[in-house]
Amino acid sequence: MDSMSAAQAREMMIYVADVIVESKELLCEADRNIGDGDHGIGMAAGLERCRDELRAREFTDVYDVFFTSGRTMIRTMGGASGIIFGMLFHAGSRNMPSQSEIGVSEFSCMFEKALTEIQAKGHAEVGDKTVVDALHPMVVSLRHSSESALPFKEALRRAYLAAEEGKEASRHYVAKVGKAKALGERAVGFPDAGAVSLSVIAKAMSDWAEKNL
Amino acid sequence: MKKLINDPRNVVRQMFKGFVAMHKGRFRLLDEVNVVVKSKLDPGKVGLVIGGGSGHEPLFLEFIGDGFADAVCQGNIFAAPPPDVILAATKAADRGHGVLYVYGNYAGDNLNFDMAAEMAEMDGISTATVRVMDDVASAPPERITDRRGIAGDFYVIKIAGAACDAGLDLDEVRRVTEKAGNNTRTMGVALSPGTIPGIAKPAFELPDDEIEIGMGLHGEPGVRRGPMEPADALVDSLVELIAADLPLKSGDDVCVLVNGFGSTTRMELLICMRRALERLDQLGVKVYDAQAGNYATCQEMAGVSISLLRLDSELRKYYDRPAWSPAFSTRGLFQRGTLVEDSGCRC
Repeated sequence: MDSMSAAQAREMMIYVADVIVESKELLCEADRNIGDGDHGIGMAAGLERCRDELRAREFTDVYDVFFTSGRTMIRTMGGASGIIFGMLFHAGSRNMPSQSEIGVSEFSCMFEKALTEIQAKGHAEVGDKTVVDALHPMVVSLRHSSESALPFKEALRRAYLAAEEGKEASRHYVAKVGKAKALGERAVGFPDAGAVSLSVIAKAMSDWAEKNL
Repeated sequence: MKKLINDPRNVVRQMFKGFVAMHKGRFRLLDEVNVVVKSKLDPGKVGLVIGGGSGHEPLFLEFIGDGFADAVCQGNIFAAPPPDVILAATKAADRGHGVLYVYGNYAGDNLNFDMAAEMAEMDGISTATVRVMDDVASAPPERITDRRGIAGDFYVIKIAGAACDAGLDLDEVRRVTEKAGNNTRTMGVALSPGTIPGIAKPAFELPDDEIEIGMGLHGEPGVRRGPMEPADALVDSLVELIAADLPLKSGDDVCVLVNGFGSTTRMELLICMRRALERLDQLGVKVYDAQAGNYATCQEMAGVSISLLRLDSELRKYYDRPAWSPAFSTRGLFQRGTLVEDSGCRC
């Protein structure tokens, strides 16, 4: 199966929301290590609202699924993560012509746009100990999968592995952006909480694809 | 931690409702968003919108009023409000002359307020922004724009409110407010952490016999962790760090705020105040006005911060402008030393 329909995208995002809600404590703990420990609360609340919006109606446009998810997160979450994770889904789906299904190439483009916008607004590069540490390798992997015409399932599996690797690499970095910035060397050894969330999201998408695509 | 709350998910909304009900008629609470707005807004003036994460009360919520903010928006505990919430506050505060945003310099606040400003622009509302970066401990002077906003928010909001109230235009309000920000510095010392409602573990850890100089309002690390010391020694460290940073010189005029983080007793605040005034006097600095109290808190965090606002004649004019908010009022204040000459008591 080389495409994802609007109905499938909706199911996948509902599954992502389920997993984030279940991961609330894990994400709080990740944040407590080098932040104030509330990342999981915001993410769980935001994805819960997102899930409500997705369940409330049927979708015929794939981009509308991601736009609705991202816009709901921006509107309801607050904090840096509301904007950052909202843009993850919103930046690449906003102003896109309606599509009943998309392939790996369109999916890859969507996250590439998100990476560009997140980097621009957050002023973050790889190595700054932010979500970019996991998102950048994920986007590189998706682009490669698209160029190699890999099936969706495999593209999402590789995207997750890349995000996970990037998240692990963020352990070694000194934070240059965000609240952990002030920690300096004390933050080394812990992954960035945003990168942890991104890895959880990427794994949820891959797990869903494994069973359903 | 035992807390007088109901469902932890509703703490912010229930706090806003309690605040508005207490001041029946004076403020209104917007539907569905955590925004309070003054019921009566003077026409023809720039609007002042302040906000940030919840859990630091009375900041920001209770700095609304005459000569203070026109609207306040808050997010969840320690989380910036979403852009849509800030936009609702912006629309409510705008009287056709634009809106000034004043908030603490944190990544989350910057992202959300900037997006709100873009949305306001699309709706035809001009905005300007002053980010408060008074926390000396959070970055060295060469990276001053990396500094966070803490209790010094109070002075910047007071001056911004006065500038709006005086009828200045948006550019002038921003200029005066930036000047207040540039002359405001804060240093704090944390004794014990606060906890987020509904979360058992404290937001950070600090051993019983240790203190941390410069720790932020969310437990961000400071400049030095060490053993507990007497109040005077700690206050001296804070005053000296600020004095070196501004830098303060003999003959300067300042306002002093001794701020408690939530569970610090009034007794401790006044003991610290006594020493801060002594130390400033030794430095030849003239204290124009002084307050002690809980202005910017972090739940039941213990500790104290000292903020100084260095005055020139322009800032003094706006500082003196009568103002009222639930957290601070100029009514009943008198300029220090005008009623009784300083007795020179050195206890």
